[in-house]
Amino acid sequence: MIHSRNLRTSFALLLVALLAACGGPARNSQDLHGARLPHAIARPDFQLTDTDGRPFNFAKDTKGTLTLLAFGYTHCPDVCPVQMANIAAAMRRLSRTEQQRIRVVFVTTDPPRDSAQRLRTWLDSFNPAFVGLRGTEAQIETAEHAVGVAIATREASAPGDTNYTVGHAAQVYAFTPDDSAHRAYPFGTLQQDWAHDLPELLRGAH
Amino acid sequence: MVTKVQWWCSAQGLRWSWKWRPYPGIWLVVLAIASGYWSLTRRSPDTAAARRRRWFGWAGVLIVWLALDWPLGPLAAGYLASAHAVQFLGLTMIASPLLLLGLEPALAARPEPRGPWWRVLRYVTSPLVAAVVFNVIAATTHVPGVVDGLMVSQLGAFVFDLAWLLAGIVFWWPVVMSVPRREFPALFKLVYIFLGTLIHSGIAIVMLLAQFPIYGVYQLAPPMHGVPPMMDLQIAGAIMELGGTAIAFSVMTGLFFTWVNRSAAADEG
Repeated sequence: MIHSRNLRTSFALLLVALLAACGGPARNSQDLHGARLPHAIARPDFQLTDTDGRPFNFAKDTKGTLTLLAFGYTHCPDVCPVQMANIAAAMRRLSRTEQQRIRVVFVTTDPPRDSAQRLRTWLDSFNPAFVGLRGTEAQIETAEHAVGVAIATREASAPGDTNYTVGHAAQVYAFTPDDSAHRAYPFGTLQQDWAHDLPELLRGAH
Repeated sequence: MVTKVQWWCSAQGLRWSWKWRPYPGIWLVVLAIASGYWSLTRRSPDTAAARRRRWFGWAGVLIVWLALDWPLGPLAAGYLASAHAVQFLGLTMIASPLLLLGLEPALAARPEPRGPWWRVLRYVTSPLVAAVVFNVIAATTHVPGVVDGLMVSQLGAFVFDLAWLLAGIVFWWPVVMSVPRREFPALFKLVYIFLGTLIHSGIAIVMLLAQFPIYGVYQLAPPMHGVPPMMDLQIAGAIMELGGTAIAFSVMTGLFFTWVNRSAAADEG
C-alpha cells in the first residue's frame, strides 16, 4: 500500500513538473540577443521624407509599433546590406501578421548619392515594406542627434568624386511598442539572433 | 584603397574585388611542397608507370596551389561557404591522393626505413587510425565556432588549410601507398573509403537542412551579388555531397574493377 501511494505521488509530481515545463520559461528579457542599452531611448521625434516624397514623422508614424531604425547608405560595401539582408531573412520566417506588425526604417546618411529612386530600389531588394527616409544633411544630423548616435562623416574626397565611403552608426535600434528602445543590434547580429528576438520583441520583451 | 599584403588568405571583411592579390605565404608553402616532392621522387624507378605517376603528383601540387591561392583561397576564407567546400574537396579528396600517387613508386622502391618518425607514420596511416584522424579533422573544421574563430586570422586560416591537406594525406595513405608494408585487400579499401567519406554526407546534410546560415564569417561577409548566404550554404552542402560522393565512388569503382581483373588473372594463372 505504501509502495502504491509513493508511486501515485511520484507520478503526480512528475505530471505537475511536465505541465509546468509545457508552460514555457518565464519571459526573460535577458534571453534577447540584442545588446541592452545603458538607458532606454525614447522614440525620437524627427521628420524626414520617404521614398515617395511624403513627409514621415518618425515618432508619430511609428508610435506604438515595433520599429527597427537603422542609419546607412546604399553604397555601403558591407554593414548596411548585411544588416538589412539579415533582418529581411529573419522577417520572412515570421507569419504575415507578425511581419506586418514590424516596421523597418532606414535613414540614408548619404543624401547626395541616395536619391529617392535609388534608395527605394535598394530597399526593395531586401523587402518592399522597408521604409526609406531622406532629407538634407542638417535634417539627418537632427535625426542622428535625436537617437543619440554619432553623426555620419564622409570620407575625404576630391570635389565631384562620387566614389567615397561614409562612416555611420552601424547598430540597429529596436523601438518597442512602449515607444522606447531598450536594445540595439550591432553589426554582427546574425539572422538567427533576429529570428529569435523579433517575436519576443513583438510580445513585449525588452 | 591600399590594403596590406597578407601572407595567407583569411577573412578580412573587405568588399570582394576581382583584382588579383598576392599571398606570399601560400607561394612559399607550395614551393616547399614542390621541392619536397621533387626531392622524394627524383629517385623513382625510371619506368613508364612511375613517370606517369609522377605527373599525377605534380598535378596534385598544382591543385594544392589552385585551392589555396587567389581567387579560391580568399573566396573560401572570407566570402563563400561554397568556395570553402570546393577547397575542402580539392585539398582532401583530389590533391592528397594525387600527391601520394606520385610518391608511391619512390617510397616503394626504397628499403623500409626505421626510426621513431616512421613508427609514428606507420601508426597514423594504419586504416583505423587514419579514418578516425580524417573524420575528426573533417568534422571539427566544419563546426561553426571553429570556422568563425579560425578564418578571421591568417594563422588560423593557415592551420585550417594545413589540417585539411594533412588529413587528406593521412586518409588516402592506406589506399594508395604500399608502404608501410601491410596487407590491405582491395575489398577492405572499398569499405574503408565508403566509411571514411560518410562524414561528407553528414556535413552536407547539416548544411542542406540548416534553418540559418551556420557560419557567421560567411553570413556577415560583404555580399557577393546574387548569392544570399542561405543559398550559398546549400550550394556548399550540395558540393560536399555530390562532389565527395562522386570522387569516392569513382575511386571505389576503379578499385573494384582492379580487384575483379586481378582475381580473374589469378584464377587463369
